[in-house]
Amino acid sequence: MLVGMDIDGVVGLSEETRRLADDLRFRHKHVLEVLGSAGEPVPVEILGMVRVADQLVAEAADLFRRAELFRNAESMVLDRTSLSMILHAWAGYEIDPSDPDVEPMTVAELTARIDALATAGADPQQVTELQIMLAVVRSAELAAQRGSLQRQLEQLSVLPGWGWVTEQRLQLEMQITATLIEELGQEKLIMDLESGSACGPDFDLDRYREIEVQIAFLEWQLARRQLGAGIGRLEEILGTIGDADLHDQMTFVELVAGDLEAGESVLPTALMLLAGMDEIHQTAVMAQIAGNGDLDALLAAVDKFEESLVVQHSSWGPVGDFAGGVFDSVWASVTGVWGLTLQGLYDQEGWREKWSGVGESVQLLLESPGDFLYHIADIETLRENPARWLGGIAPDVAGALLSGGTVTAAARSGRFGSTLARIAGTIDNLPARLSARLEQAITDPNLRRMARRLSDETGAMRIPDLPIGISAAQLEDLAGLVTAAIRQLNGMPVIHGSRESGNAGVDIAILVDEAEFNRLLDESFGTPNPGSARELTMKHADLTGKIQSGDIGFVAVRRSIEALLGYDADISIIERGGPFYQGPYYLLGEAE
Amino acid sequence: MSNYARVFIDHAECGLGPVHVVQSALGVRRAIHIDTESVSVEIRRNPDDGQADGFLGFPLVAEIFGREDSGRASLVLAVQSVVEALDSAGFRVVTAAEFEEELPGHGRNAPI
Repeated sequence: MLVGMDIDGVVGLSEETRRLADDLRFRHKHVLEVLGSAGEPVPVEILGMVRVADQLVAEAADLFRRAELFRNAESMVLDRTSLSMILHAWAGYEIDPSDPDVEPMTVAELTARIDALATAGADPQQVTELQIMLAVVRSAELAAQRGSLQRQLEQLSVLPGWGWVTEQRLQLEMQITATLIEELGQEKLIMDLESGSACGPDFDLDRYREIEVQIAFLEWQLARRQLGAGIGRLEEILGTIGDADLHDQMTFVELVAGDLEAGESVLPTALMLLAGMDEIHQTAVMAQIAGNGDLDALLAAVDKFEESLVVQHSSWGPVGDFAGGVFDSVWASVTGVWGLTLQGLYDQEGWREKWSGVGESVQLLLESPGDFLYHIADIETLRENPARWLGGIAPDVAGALLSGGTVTAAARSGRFGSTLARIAGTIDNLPARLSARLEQAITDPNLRRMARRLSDETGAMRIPDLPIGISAAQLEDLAGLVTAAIRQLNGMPVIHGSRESGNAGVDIAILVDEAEFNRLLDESFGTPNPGSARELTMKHADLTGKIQSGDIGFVAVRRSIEALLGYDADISIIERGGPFYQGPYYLLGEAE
Repeated sequence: MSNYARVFIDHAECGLGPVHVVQSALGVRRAIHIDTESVSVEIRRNPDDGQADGFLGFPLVAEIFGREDSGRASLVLAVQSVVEALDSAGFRVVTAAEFEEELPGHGRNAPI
């Protein structure tokens, strides 16, 4: 067979396959080693990994063997076009490769043609050669496709404002996943995606945590988009309200309930939009709901929606506070409107009056979110849980902050922090420095006005003596936790002022004098064996004047603090006058 | 007796991430705070990352605490599992613990 072979390309393919095989062997070995050291119980997924790894190693060996075959062949330009020409030649056709109208056969067509040749009694050796050629062509094409997708994904990942490209990212990841599955015929990529992103010298624990939180955040973004899509859908629905034919076929409630069945969050947006409608349309919808006797159905749909929100977001932790606040805000609108709707059935005048008020609020939200936020600002929640408060005023404010505010800037500069709670943590700087920070962060004139008004007109927003990002209530709880933990110490608990400079976590120090420090050093480390790592750790603590939380036995209180604040915390003993004795400090409690 | 061990971790060139490795070694998944019946583990940034020489400046630490109602043997075994898993995955590790001499290779594969 006279064919031209691109040796470099095939060698590259061979090398790639070899690397794949080596990688799979490594993973296989690792899994077995982990299994050997893990003891009982062995997680089910580990056993699955072993089976997958076994199969992948075998497949990699097969791929490698195929690539080696071509590595040893003579020159050949191997692609679908050349393979098509070969098969055409077998059929007796003359094909001009320079003819731009010549379309290469698809993989399916090539496969069918080769199968037909085999059935027709062609030389089995040559059929095998053709099958191998087809396998290599297919593999190379898929690898190229995957590479292209991954490049697109990388480009997306460096774009600013990553939130808005969520769907594109997810779509690309799904395409890459599908391509890899097709390419390898296995779900190896799942292992790769889980583990590959977290290995190597660039591994970053913060980044690892961030990935998980990003997933939750992406879900939230998608939920927002879903709401946006719901608005569009609702507009379609509302646009058909006056359509007599559609009325005959389906009620408004049925339309909304149908969308709920499909998983769309149309109901709240529907009701919010209803609130913003003019009186004629409101009356039309109300008449339809009342006239069709669909109140029970609508109420059931509302319950169902609320239930789905609870299930969906109950396990998000600090992120849930944030995202939950978003949905609570929407939900409050829903229930508020719903209450008015019920009233409207019996009290037309009162309904119109209040409905009009809701409509104005929604209009205000859409056109002037700053004023709306001021209108609904929940100062108590702001004091207790700034992240939740922020979620409560989202999505408009959150969108403004995340797209143009300090948080995005921090993310771009790599100081993004480890969790979405830190996003909220950054944003929850609002209570302490609201007027300055908001005005810097928000370009929208309405939001800027809201910031000034909140700052000027509510004493709750002025907490000048607190560390940034910690509310008065949190500070009180924090002081209680720390004071209880250090009862046996003679030290002064403080919060390090680095929090003010944008440090995403919070450092709590117990300031002690030299004698107390030495006592605690002995108590923490005892007398370690000479030359041991523990002895070196103790000497380092002595040298730096800092005993870390694990050594002093503060891990439990550290966890409690992190749970209280929603972000990373550290608590350590600091010797006055030592290298780490560097303020500014905020006094915490009244020890010493 | 101290029920605490700190495993200093340097990056591996390839393979699974350290959190994943420790989770796998202890049979736990999807948690930054890794809790088992006998120990509690946290993988954290080493506050002395890049500011101290040798292992004291490794970027990560695994802090392992034995639970009060668990014996010393279970803590030692857990630390050993974690260290061996990290070692197998290619990480450089050094264990600082009261019982480090009881661990195979003193719980380290890097010089101190």
